[in-house]
Amino acid sequence: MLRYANPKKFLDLSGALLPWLWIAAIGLMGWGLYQALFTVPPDYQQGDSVRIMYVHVPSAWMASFIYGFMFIASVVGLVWKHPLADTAAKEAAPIGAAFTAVCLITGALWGKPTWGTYWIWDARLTSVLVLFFLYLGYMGVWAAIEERAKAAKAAAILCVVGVINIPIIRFSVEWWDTLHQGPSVVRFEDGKFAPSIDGSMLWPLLIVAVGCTLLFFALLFVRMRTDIAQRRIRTLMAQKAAS
Amino acid sequence: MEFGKYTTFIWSSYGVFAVLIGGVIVATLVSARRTRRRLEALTDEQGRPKP
Repeated sequence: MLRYANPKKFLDLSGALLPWLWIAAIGLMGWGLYQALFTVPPDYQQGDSVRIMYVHVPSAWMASFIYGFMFIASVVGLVWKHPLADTAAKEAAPIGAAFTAVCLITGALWGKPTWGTYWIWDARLTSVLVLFFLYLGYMGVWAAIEERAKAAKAAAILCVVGVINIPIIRFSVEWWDTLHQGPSVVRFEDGKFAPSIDGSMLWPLLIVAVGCTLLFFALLFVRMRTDIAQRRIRTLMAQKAAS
Repeated sequence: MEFGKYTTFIWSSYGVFAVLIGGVIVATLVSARRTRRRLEALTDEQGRPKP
Protein backbone atom coordinates (compact mmCIF):
# COMPACT_ATOMS: atom_id res chain seq x y z
CA MET A 1 0.00 0.00 0.00
CA LEU A 2 2.75 2.43 1.01
CA ARG A 3 4.58 2.06 -2.32
CA TYR A 4 1.51 3.55 -4.05
CA ALA A 5 1.76 6.59 -1.78
CA ASN A 6 4.58 7.84 -3.98
CA PRO A 7 3.00 10.76 -5.96
CA LYS A 8 4.08 9.39 -9.36
CA LYS A 9 2.77 5.89 -8.64
CA PHE A 10 -0.39 7.38 -7.12
CA LEU A 11 -1.03 9.42 -10.29
CA ASP A 12 -0.59 6.32 -12.47
CA LEU A 13 -2.76 4.07 -10.31
CA SER A 14 -5.53 6.62 -9.65
CA GLY A 15 -5.62 7.54 -13.34
CA ALA A 16 -6.27 3.91 -14.24
CA LEU A 17 -8.88 3.40 -11.49
CA LEU A 18 -10.83 6.65 -11.81
CA PRO A 19 -13.04 5.83 -14.86
CA TRP A 20 -14.13 2.54 -13.24
CA LEU A 21 -14.78 4.22 -9.90
CA TRP A 22 -16.99 6.88 -11.50
CA ILE A 23 -18.97 4.31 -13.51
CA ALA A 24 -19.46 1.97 -10.53
CA ALA A 25 -20.31 4.80 -8.10
CA ILE A 26 -22.87 6.53 -10.30
CA GLY A 27 -24.34 3.20 -11.48
CA LEU A 28 -24.77 1.81 -7.96
CA MET A 29 -26.08 5.05 -6.47
CA GLY A 30 -28.49 5.60 -9.37
CA TRP A 31 -29.81 2.04 -9.21
CA GLY A 32 -30.07 2.02 -5.41
CA LEU A 33 -31.85 5.38 -5.21
CA TYR A 34 -34.24 4.39 -8.01
CA GLN A 35 -35.13 1.25 -6.01
CA ALA A 36 -35.50 3.36 -2.87
CA LEU A 37 -37.96 5.74 -4.49
CA PHE A 38 -39.97 3.49 -6.77
CA THR A 39 -39.63 -0.19 -5.78
CA VAL A 40 -39.04 -0.52 -2.04
CA PRO A 41 -42.30 -1.08 -0.11
CA PRO A 42 -43.43 1.45 2.53
CA ASP A 43 -42.48 0.57 6.10
CA TYR A 44 -45.30 -0.92 8.22
CA GLN A 45 -44.77 1.74 10.92
CA GLN A 46 -43.23 4.75 9.17
CA GLY A 47 -44.97 4.44 5.81
CA ASP A 48 -43.29 6.14 2.85
CA SER A 49 -41.14 8.37 5.09
CA VAL A 50 -38.75 5.40 5.38
CA ARG A 51 -37.52 6.32 1.87
CA ILE A 52 -35.53 9.12 3.51
CA MET A 53 -33.42 6.35 5.11
CA TYR A 54 -31.74 5.68 1.74
CA VAL A 55 -30.06 9.09 1.68
CA HIS A 56 -29.82 9.67 5.44
CA VAL A 57 -28.21 6.41 6.60
CA PRO A 58 -25.51 6.12 3.88
CA SER A 59 -24.65 9.80 4.50
CA ALA A 60 -24.34 9.11 8.24
CA TRP A 61 -22.11 6.09 7.58
CA MET A 62 -19.97 8.13 5.17
CA ALA A 63 -19.66 11.01 7.66
CA SER A 64 -18.03 8.69 10.22
CA PHE A 65 -16.13 6.57 7.69
CA ILE A 66 -14.49 9.60 6.08
CA TYR A 67 -13.47 10.99 9.46
CA GLY A 68 -11.96 7.59 10.30
CA PHE A 69 -10.10 7.70 6.99
CA MET A 70 -8.82 11.21 7.81
CA PHE A 71 -7.72 10.00 11.25
CA ILE A 72 -5.63 7.18 9.73
CA ALA A 73 -4.16 9.54 7.11
CA SER A 74 -3.39 12.13 9.81
CA VAL A 75 -1.60 9.55 11.99
CA VAL A 76 0.43 8.37 8.98
CA GLY A 77 1.25 12.01 8.18
CA LEU A 78 2.27 12.83 11.76
CA VAL A 79 4.27 9.67 12.45
CA TRP A 80 5.80 8.71 9.09
CA LYS A 81 5.65 12.12 7.34
CA HIS A 82 4.30 10.38 4.28
CA PRO A 83 4.07 12.80 1.33
CA LEU A 84 0.49 11.95 0.33
CA ALA A 85 -1.03 11.31 3.77
CA ASP A 86 -1.67 14.99 4.56
CA THR A 87 -3.03 15.56 1.06
CA ALA A 88 -5.41 12.61 1.47
CA ALA A 89 -6.75 13.89 4.81
CA LYS A 90 -7.05 17.48 3.56
CA GLU A 91 -8.92 16.53 0.40
CA ALA A 92 -11.24 14.09 2.19
CA ALA A 93 -12.52 16.76 4.60
CA PRO A 94 -14.87 18.73 2.28
CA ILE A 95 -16.43 15.46 1.08
CA GLY A 96 -16.95 14.36 4.68
CA ALA A 97 -18.43 17.74 5.58
CA ALA A 98 -20.90 17.48 2.67
CA PHE A 99 -22.05 13.99 3.73
CA THR A 100 -22.38 15.16 7.35
CA ALA A 101 -24.50 18.15 6.24
CA VAL A 102 -26.70 15.80 4.19
CA CYS A 103 -27.02 13.51 7.23
CA LEU A 104 -28.05 16.40 9.52
CA ILE A 105 -30.54 17.98 7.10
CA THR A 106 -32.17 14.74 5.96
CA GLY A 107 -32.28 13.63 9.60
CA ALA A 108 -34.24 16.78 10.41
CA LEU A 109 -36.55 16.16 7.44
CA TRP A 110 -37.10 12.58 8.63
CA GLY A 111 -37.47 13.68 12.26
CA LYS A 112 -40.35 16.08 11.65
CA PRO A 113 -42.90 13.50 10.41
CA THR A 114 -41.53 10.75 12.68
CA TRP A 115 -40.90 12.55 16.00
CA GLY A 116 -42.84 15.77 15.42
CA THR A 117 -39.72 17.96 15.53
CA TYR A 118 -36.88 18.86 13.17
CA TRP A 119 -34.29 19.02 15.94
CA ILE A 120 -33.68 18.00 19.50
CA TRP A 121 -30.45 18.22 21.49
CA ASP A 122 -30.16 14.49 22.07
CA ALA A 123 -26.79 12.74 22.18
CA ARG A 124 -26.82 11.32 18.63
CA LEU A 125 -27.91 14.52 16.89
CA THR A 126 -25.58 16.69 18.96
CA SER A 127 -22.54 14.44 18.43
CA VAL A 128 -23.12 14.45 14.65
CA LEU A 129 -23.38 18.26 14.77
CA VAL A 130 -20.05 18.27 16.64
CA LEU A 131 -18.61 16.10 13.85
CA PHE A 132 -19.77 18.70 11.30
CA PHE A 133 -18.01 21.44 13.29
CA LEU A 134 -14.88 19.27 13.49
CA TYR A 135 -14.87 19.05 9.69
CA LEU A 136 -15.32 22.83 9.42
CA GLY A 137 -12.59 23.43 12.02
CA TYR A 138 -10.22 21.07 10.22
CA MET A 139 -10.77 22.88 6.89
CA GLY A 140 -10.46 26.21 8.70
CA VAL A 141 -7.03 25.25 10.07
CA TRP A 142 -5.79 24.39 6.57
CA ALA A 143 -7.19 27.69 5.24
CA ALA A 144 -5.79 29.81 8.08
CA ILE A 145 -2.16 28.63 8.15
CA GLU A 146 -0.15 29.58 5.11
CA GLU A 147 2.86 27.29 5.55
CA ARG A 148 1.80 23.85 4.35
CA ALA A 149 3.83 21.75 6.80
CA LYS A 150 2.54 23.73 9.80
CA ALA A 151 -1.05 23.60 8.55
CA ALA A 152 -0.82 19.84 7.98
CA LYS A 153 0.55 19.25 11.48
CA ALA A 154 -2.02 21.46 13.23
CA ALA A 155 -4.92 19.99 11.23
CA ALA A 156 -3.70 16.43 11.84
CA ILE A 157 -3.54 17.04 15.60
CA LEU A 158 -7.09 18.44 15.55
CA CYS A 159 -8.25 15.41 13.56
CA VAL A 160 -6.58 12.94 15.94
CA VAL A 161 -8.06 14.64 19.02
CA GLY A 162 -11.50 14.85 17.40
CA VAL A 163 -11.67 11.13 16.63
CA ILE A 164 -12.97 10.61 20.17
CA ASN A 165 -16.29 11.84 18.78
CA ILE A 166 -16.65 8.82 16.44
CA PRO A 167 -17.30 6.18 19.16
CA ILE A 168 -19.48 8.75 20.93
CA ILE A 169 -21.64 9.01 17.78
CA ARG A 170 -21.71 5.22 17.39
CA PHE A 171 -22.64 4.38 20.98
CA SER A 172 -24.62 7.52 21.90
CA VAL A 173 -27.91 5.72 21.31
CA GLU A 174 -26.84 2.96 23.72
CA TRP A 175 -25.12 5.06 26.40
CA TRP A 176 -27.89 7.65 26.74
CA ASP A 177 -31.66 7.82 26.34
CA THR A 178 -32.08 9.39 22.95
CA LEU A 179 -35.01 10.26 20.75
CA HIS A 180 -32.95 8.86 17.88
CA GLN A 181 -33.55 5.15 17.50
CA GLY A 182 -30.88 2.58 18.38
CA PRO A 183 -28.99 0.49 15.80
CA SER A 184 -31.74 -0.66 13.46
CA VAL A 185 -30.09 -1.88 10.25
CA VAL A 186 -27.89 -4.59 11.78
CA ARG A 187 -28.33 -5.77 15.38
CA PHE A 188 -26.11 -7.91 17.62
CA GLU A 189 -28.37 -10.57 19.09
CA ASP A 190 -27.71 -14.05 20.48
CA GLY A 191 -23.97 -13.72 19.89
CA LYS A 192 -24.19 -12.79 16.21
CA PHE A 193 -24.88 -9.85 13.92
CA ALA A 194 -28.12 -10.11 11.96
CA PRO A 195 -30.04 -7.68 9.72
CA SER A 196 -33.12 -6.26 11.39
CA ILE A 197 -34.85 -5.07 8.23
CA ASP A 198 -36.21 -7.11 5.34
CA GLY A 199 -33.90 -7.88 2.42
CA SER A 200 -36.13 -5.91 0.02
CA MET A 201 -35.29 -2.78 2.04
CA LEU A 202 -31.76 -3.74 3.09
CA TRP A 203 -30.20 -4.41 -0.33
CA PRO A 204 -30.96 -1.01 -1.90
CA LEU A 205 -29.58 0.61 1.27
CA LEU A 206 -26.33 -1.37 1.06
CA ILE A 207 -26.05 -0.65 -2.68
CA VAL A 208 -26.40 3.12 -2.12
CA ALA A 209 -23.83 2.88 0.69
CA VAL A 210 -21.32 1.05 -1.54
CA GLY A 211 -22.00 3.60 -4.31
CA CYS A 212 -21.34 6.48 -1.87
CA THR A 213 -18.08 4.83 -0.75
CA LEU A 214 -16.88 4.47 -4.34
CA LEU A 215 -17.96 8.05 -5.05
CA PHE A 216 -15.87 9.19 -2.08
CA PHE A 217 -12.76 7.48 -3.48
CA ALA A 218 -13.42 8.86 -6.98
CA LEU A 219 -13.74 12.40 -5.60
CA LEU A 220 -10.77 11.93 -3.29
CA PHE A 221 -8.51 10.75 -6.12
CA VAL A 222 -9.52 13.68 -8.37
CA ARG A 223 -8.99 16.16 -5.53
CA MET A 224 -5.60 14.66 -4.59
CA ARG A 225 -4.47 14.75 -8.24
CA THR A 226 -5.57 18.41 -8.37
CA ASP A 227 -3.64 19.20 -5.18
CA ILE A 228 -0.49 17.56 -6.60
CA ALA A 229 -0.92 19.60 -9.82
CA GLN A 230 -1.42 22.82 -7.82
CA ARG A 231 1.83 22.16 -5.95
CA ARG A 232 3.60 21.64 -9.27
CA ILE A 233 2.14 24.95 -10.52
CA ARG A 234 3.52 26.74 -7.45
CA THR A 235 6.94 25.19 -8.06
CA LEU A 236 6.93 26.22 -11.72
CA MET A 237 5.80 29.74 -10.83
CA ALA A 238 8.60 30.02 -8.25
CA GLN A 239 11.15 28.82 -10.83
CA LYS A 240 9.74 31.30 -13.35
CA ALA A 241 9.98 34.16 -10.85
CA ALA A 242 13.55 33.20 -9.93
CA SER A 243 14.80 33.05 -13.52
CA MET B 1 -44.38 10.60 -7.67
CA GLU B 2 -46.70 11.07 -4.68
CA PHE B 3 -45.89 9.82 -1.19
CA GLY B 4 -48.96 11.27 0.55
CA LYS B 5 -48.24 13.50 3.53
CA TYR B 6 -44.52 12.63 3.29
CA THR B 7 -44.04 13.87 -0.29
CA THR B 8 -42.41 17.20 0.66
CA PHE B 9 -40.07 15.60 3.22
CA ILE B 10 -38.97 12.82 0.87
CA TRP B 11 -38.31 15.01 -2.19
CA SER B 12 -36.62 17.66 -0.04
CA SER B 13 -34.27 14.99 1.35
CA TYR B 14 -33.34 13.68 -2.08
CA GLY B 15 -32.98 17.28 -3.29
CA VAL B 16 -30.58 18.13 -0.45
CA PHE B 17 -28.56 14.99 -1.25
CA ALA B 18 -28.45 15.89 -4.96
CA VAL B 19 -27.52 19.55 -4.38
CA LEU B 20 -24.82 19.01 -1.73
CA ILE B 21 -23.19 15.86 -3.13
CA GLY B 22 -23.69 17.08 -6.72
CA GLY B 23 -22.17 20.41 -5.66
CA VAL B 24 -19.04 18.68 -4.33
CA ILE B 25 -18.77 16.65 -7.56
CA VAL B 26 -19.12 19.75 -9.78
CA ALA B 27 -16.73 21.86 -7.67
CA THR B 28 -14.15 19.05 -7.67
CA LEU B 29 -14.32 18.51 -11.44
CA VAL B 30 -14.28 22.25 -12.27
CA SER B 31 -11.25 22.83 -10.03
CA ALA B 32 -9.47 19.79 -11.54
CA ARG B 33 -10.09 21.05 -15.07
CA ARG B 34 -8.94 24.61 -14.33
CA THR B 35 -5.79 23.35 -12.59
CA ARG B 36 -4.94 20.94 -15.43
CA ARG B 37 -5.30 23.73 -18.02
CA ARG B 38 -3.17 26.09 -15.98
CA LEU B 39 -0.46 23.46 -15.53
CA GLU B 40 -0.52 22.66 -19.26
CA ALA B 41 -0.23 26.37 -20.11
CA LEU B 42 2.73 26.77 -17.74
CA THR B 43 4.57 23.68 -18.99
CA ASP B 44 3.99 24.78 -22.62
CA GLU B 45 5.33 28.22 -21.76
CA GLN B 46 8.44 26.78 -20.13
CA GLY B 47 8.98 24.17 -22.83
CA ARG B 48 8.67 21.26 -20.39
CA PRO B 49 7.05 17.90 -21.17
CA LYS B 50 3.27 17.91 -20.63
CA PRO B 51 2.04 16.42 -17.31
